[in-house]
Amino acid sequence: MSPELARVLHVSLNHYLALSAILFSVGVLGVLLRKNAIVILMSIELMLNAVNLDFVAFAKYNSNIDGQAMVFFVMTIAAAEAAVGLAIAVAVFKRFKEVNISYFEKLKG
Amino acid sequence: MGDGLLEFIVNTVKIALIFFAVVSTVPLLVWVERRGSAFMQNRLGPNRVGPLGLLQLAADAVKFIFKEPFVPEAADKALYFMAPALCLLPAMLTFAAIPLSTPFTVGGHTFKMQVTDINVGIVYIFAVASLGVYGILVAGWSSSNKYSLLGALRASSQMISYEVAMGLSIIGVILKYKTFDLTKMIGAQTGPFNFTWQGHNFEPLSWLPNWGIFFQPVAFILFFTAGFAETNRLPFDLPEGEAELVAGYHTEYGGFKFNMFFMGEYGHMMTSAALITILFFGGYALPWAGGGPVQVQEFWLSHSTWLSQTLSLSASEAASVLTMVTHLACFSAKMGFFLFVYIWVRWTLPRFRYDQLMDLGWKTMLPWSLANLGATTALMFFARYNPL
Amino acid sequence: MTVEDLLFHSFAVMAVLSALFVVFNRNPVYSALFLALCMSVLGAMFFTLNAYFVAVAQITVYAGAVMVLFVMVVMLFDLKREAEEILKFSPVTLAKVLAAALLCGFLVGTGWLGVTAVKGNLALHLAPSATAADLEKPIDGKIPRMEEKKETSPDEAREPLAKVSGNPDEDLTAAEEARLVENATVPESRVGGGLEEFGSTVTLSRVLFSKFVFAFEAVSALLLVAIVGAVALARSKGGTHHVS
Repeated sequence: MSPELARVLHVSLNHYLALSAILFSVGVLGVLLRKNAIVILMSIELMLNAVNLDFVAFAKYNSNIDGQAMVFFVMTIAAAEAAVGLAIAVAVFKRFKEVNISYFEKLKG
Repeated sequence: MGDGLLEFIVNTVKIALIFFAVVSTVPLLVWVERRGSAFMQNRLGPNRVGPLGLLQLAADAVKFIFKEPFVPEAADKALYFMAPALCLLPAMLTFAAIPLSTPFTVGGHTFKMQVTDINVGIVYIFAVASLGVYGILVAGWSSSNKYSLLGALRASSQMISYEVAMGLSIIGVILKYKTFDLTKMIGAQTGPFNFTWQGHNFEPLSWLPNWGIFFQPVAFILFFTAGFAETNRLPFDLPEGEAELVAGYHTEYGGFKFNMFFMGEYGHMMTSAALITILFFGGYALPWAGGGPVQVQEFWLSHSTWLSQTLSLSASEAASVLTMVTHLACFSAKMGFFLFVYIWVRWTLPRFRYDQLMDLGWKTMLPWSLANLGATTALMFFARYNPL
Repeated sequence: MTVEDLLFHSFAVMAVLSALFVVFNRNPVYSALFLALCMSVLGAMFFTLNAYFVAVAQITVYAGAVMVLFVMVVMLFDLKREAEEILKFSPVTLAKVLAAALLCGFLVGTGWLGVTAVKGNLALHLAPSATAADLEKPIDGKIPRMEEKKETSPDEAREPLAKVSGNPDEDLTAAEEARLVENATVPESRVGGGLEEFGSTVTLSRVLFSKFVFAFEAVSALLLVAIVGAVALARSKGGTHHVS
């Protein structure tokens, strides 16, 4: 293995940022492409996880524990948001028997 | 790569050993269950196959392997095959952080008797144990059977509810020992009873070992009860209740897959029993052995010449090996006792109804564990500060 | 390539593959289960990033509770496999995919450029007094081995923390910790080091309860509001959607 390849593959902050960016954009793709409300909520959770990875990577590579404290809060808020979002989805399903968002376009002109 | 490669090989061997140890302890446990329950019910258990019926489980294993692997037609094939493995995985993973014995030194290398020595040991165990819900949910769903799904939903909501109570009840123990690390908790439970209350030393009680149960009795009761609920054992085994739900979430599983569910359940039971001994009963430390593992090692230093000659080890290495064996035996004895208590309770108590079960988990155990936490904090504060 | 590099790359591949499965699989149960896998893999990655408590919190909260909630909701709704393809050949879909790809490229590029301009990246390979020009030099074939895996020693890691931490804990002095450790005869090498190591629970909680204590209390109030709201929304009788 050449030294240049080894240096590129040796894990640094850039690698974690790149992974987090890829996961974030996959989440964005999920929100844009999928029509199932629950899968959209799952893609939002994926985006929040990517952000968590970013925070923890910065915390390690800058030796600053504040990043991990931020992860704490992001995790809590994401859990609360998932619970409330799913409660809304349950209420919608009970009323309309559908969670496909293309059925809820009544407000469209 | 010498040192790193050795570490990698040693860890792989440890993982394989723990896996095989858990898998082979399960038949022994099932034998104890069947014979023990038989004696409790005034009958003999399996006693024909092998001496005392010990080979019954081997015969059962052979039977399971040769049974027809029946798959229901409407089942989701991939999830149906994955569910038993998903049930077995957390039970094995939790064993990675449990210290089985003191470390021993052979040939200049020190081997710890646990796969990893994580500094967040007990929280890791709870985290991985909470992944056990997936196996049950996937098993119930993929069977495409009403009764399986009902059993799976009941079992998973029971597990989630009692996880909360279990986690909260442990916080008192963590506060007392000021660490998450299980090895340090065991280290803090060695020696005689040691508690100071504003200067008083409780000398008359120093014949007791310094175990966690004397400091956190309420937490022990809560954790012990929650352990039953977590592993779906009676009196909390409504999800598997034979009369109501056929067999709950593993109705549609036969043969070896059913065996894997069994192994997962007994593996969880072993983890709970191991945690109870570590948190409340001193883990692998011998009860009245003075200062703990150091004392035991000194004892063996003078009595281990026969081992150091046969295996050509140095004196301290032979002593460390014998210390490890002693403590492993002590840990196994304690854990075995609690496993027997699990089996004993199963055949003694009737089953909880589902709403009684959820009431107990949320309305009784959760407030009691919070009260335990409050009382522990208050007592720890007033133990040092005398406001009067 | 050290073992940690291999570990990162395998975790990264697993995480990206499971994230792609979440988005492109037509069965919502599989999506939920793959997302749980992705979160577990991220939790494992947090372990390699010296964030031990955050890693177990990730597995307990995300993979063990939030995703169980998702899986149970999907199973209760009895959602079937979706009928239509997710990636249809239409201009709208193409625009969406392009937008996401552009976003990904933008984030990766900004991150890469931003990080190389900042000192943080240099501390890994070079001395603190190095400049940006030093990054151009090759590392003369010396790949860090597993023995040298701890780049930041505990002393270096503790220094920025000393500015933000509150009073040190009076109870467990170094002597007491040494006695605990000695009693259990714990040898030197272990995952996570001692109590004061970067990323251990003690350092994290010091910051959490001193610098971020307001956010901590606010988040607990927010959780209470979320619990009440979720129960109110999802009740069958007397809920917010109840038609009386």
